[in-house]
Amino acid sequence: MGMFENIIIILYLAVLSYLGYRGYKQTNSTTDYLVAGRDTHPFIMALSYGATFISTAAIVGFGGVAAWLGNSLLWLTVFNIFIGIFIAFVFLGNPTRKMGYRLNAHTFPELLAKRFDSKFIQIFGAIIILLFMPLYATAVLIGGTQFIALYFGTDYHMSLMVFSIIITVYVIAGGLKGVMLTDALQGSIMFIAMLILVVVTFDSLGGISAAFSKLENVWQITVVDHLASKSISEFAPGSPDFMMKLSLLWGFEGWNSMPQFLSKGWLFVITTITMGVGIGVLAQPQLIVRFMTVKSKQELNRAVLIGSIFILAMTGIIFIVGALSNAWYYEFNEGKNALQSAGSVGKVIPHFINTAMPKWFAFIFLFALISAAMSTLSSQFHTMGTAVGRDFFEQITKKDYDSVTVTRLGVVVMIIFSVSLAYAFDDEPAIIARSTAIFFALCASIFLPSFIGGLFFRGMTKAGAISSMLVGLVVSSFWLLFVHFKEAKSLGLAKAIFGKDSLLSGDIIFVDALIIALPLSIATAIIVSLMTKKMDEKHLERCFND
Amino acid sequence: MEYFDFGVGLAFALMIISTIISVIYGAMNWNKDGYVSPPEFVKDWNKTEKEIEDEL
Repeated sequence: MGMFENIIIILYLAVLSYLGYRGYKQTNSTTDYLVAGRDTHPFIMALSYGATFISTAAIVGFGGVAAWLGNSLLWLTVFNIFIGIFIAFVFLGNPTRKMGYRLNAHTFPELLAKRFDSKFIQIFGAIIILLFMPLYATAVLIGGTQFIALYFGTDYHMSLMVFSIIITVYVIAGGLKGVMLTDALQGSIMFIAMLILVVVTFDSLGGISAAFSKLENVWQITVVDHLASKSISEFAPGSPDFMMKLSLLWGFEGWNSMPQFLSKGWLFVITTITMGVGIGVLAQPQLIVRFMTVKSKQELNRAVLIGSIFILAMTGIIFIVGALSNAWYYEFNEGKNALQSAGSVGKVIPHFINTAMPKWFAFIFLFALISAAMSTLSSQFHTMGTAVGRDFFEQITKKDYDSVTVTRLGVVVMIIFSVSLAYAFDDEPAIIARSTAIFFALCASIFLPSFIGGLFFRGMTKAGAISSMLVGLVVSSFWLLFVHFKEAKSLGLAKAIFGKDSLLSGDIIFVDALIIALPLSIATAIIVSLMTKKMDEKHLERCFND
Repeated sequence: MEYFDFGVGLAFALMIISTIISVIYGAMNWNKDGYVSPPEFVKDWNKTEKEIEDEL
């Protein structure tokens, strides 16, 4: 490692320490620690929201999927910007902020609990977060650590320790203020790295038009001509040619084309990737709490502008670059496509950065990936800490503790738990590898009807909210464990009990759990609310009126 | 755009349109709906100001 890299690392750690210290100095109350004092700057709020949303998995994982399946993934970017930013900030942000302030709610489970006057909801919400978010955090932790170990040539376990300690220090000391300030720094690094990445990629392929036009030719030669006449059984499962043949069988017709309507590939891209993640983001506890960190709608208005550009620069660019990497490899790597060159979906982006980009940029991009992992992790640790401390422990014991101390202890417990998982499983087991998809599907199915119903419908009752959450949990868990082609197969429970990977057959096993569970959860919320006694008018006045 | 089929072309266009809508919305509402001090606070603040001025 040269002088340049050493200086950058020291500078990065120094700025991180300073921001963590600033967060610590500005934290004087529970409100400061849990919701950043409700006076966050819109730039920091928007970047923190975006950087928390975009993890290493989104860049490396989905970038690799774009190299495999092509530009049809841009539908996810449409959802990310229109639903994840515009709808979320313009329509959900301000009602969430106002209700959180009126009810003095400091966490997402607490907001739902106070809206529906139910301690059960707060404890239930905390348990869902504590059961599933550690797996999601472990996946991000393993991904970030693997990059550090690979780039610096250090031991995985040593890298994990150092990486975790750095995050632990600023999350515990600075609370949400420290987390959001460091998120903004990390988001800025990610933004700059992505801009450089797209410029260099288009430049090396002869411009925008030339780059996209080459993709068609590469698909024809390396996929259709090479694989169309062969059987998938001729290839080793998971090998590059196996994956490309699979994409042909799933109905994909090119990297610049959508898969055939309602084919397996279409259902996978639209329901699992686009809707599963694109809608699932609306019910993420670590993101919703950010709406409660600003003092007026003005900050949210400004954050719409900043957040949309940020997300376009993140997912828009990495999906396009992922798909275009096929053209680059074909031109500069002996006529091979991306998967043939890198070896697997997950290796495409790191391999492309190391092969196609200048050396100095590989280092900058590594920082962007580490930043993406850190920003997501710090928010996850903070959310899990608040779930343990404020939402679970304080509700169970029914005593008035100092929330900041209890939450700090909660953060420590959850970091130790997540790091232990990452320590034990440096090679991701199935449940961790699929944890992001599982968490998104569960959160949307369980929380979304109660969250939106709670904000906009005075007639939604406590019984309606609880029953919709339980239906969401049961249906999405059933679908994930016993039906969906990816999760059910990876988790292996269906195989162990019934002797087959999925209880159903046909294209329906490609439909995401959210598509099945969310409508049922919404229907339950409506029907039960209509059938049960309305909530006390005085309570509703407090929830809805200024 | 001519290299994309209809579905991908539509996604590409909507991606850009969504961003433009968000940018326009953010820019047009940049200074709207700002934080308004509660009346009690303003009253207290005015009182303190007056006291300081009297003292000076």
